[in-house]
Amino acid sequence: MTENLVLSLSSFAALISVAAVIVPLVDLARKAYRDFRGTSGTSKSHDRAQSTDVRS
Amino acid sequence: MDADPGQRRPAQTLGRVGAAVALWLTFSVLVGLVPILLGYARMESRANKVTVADVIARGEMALVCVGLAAGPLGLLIGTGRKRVFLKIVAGGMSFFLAALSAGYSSDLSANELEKNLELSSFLQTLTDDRADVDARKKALGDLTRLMNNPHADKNVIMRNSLYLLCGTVISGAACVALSELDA
Repeated sequence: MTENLVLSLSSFAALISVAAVIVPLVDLARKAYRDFRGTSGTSKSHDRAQSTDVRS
Repeated sequence: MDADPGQRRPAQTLGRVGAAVALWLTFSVLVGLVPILLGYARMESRANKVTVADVIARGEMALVCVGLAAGPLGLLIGTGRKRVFLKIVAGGMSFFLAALSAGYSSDLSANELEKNLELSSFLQTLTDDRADVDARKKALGDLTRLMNNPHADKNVIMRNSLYLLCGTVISGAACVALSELDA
């Protein structure tokens, strides 16, 4: 009985804590991914623009 | 990409959060568990037949959990006012676990102390020259009863302590991560 109670309370607290931290972390990871994609995307489009200039 | 020097890039912040959590896990959690591991090692090296449950049964692990839950809570309080709601939730859970662990630890240590006092009282009666035969018989009966029916189940205490430790580590890591996000 006590064991189940302690297990439930600990799991509850751990889950709530994870839920609290997962929101800003996912947001940050999304920003980092967008930052990475944005940087690499810019360079690709830049290369493409340069190759078009050469052809013309 | 020209970033504002005062503002960190998201990837850098993620790295700092990971480093802070790793630092906390290594130097707080692992080092906090060292006394329990050393206690077990010392008992075993003295050729005592002990299990990890015997070492934990006095409530040391629950006591370690109190420290592990309270440390990140202090870190969280020292940060700014961003993400206050999330900080309250994570810090509240850490505080809750610290209180639960403190209650459990104090109960276990009081239980152990009570058992030791009873044992010394029975042994005093048994070794007392002035005690009559009936008193000695009663003390011996009580001693046998105490040995056969221990106050607490060590395996249950070990499992409860492990549950508390897991919850505390997860909750503490969340608090450390949140405090580093706003550092």
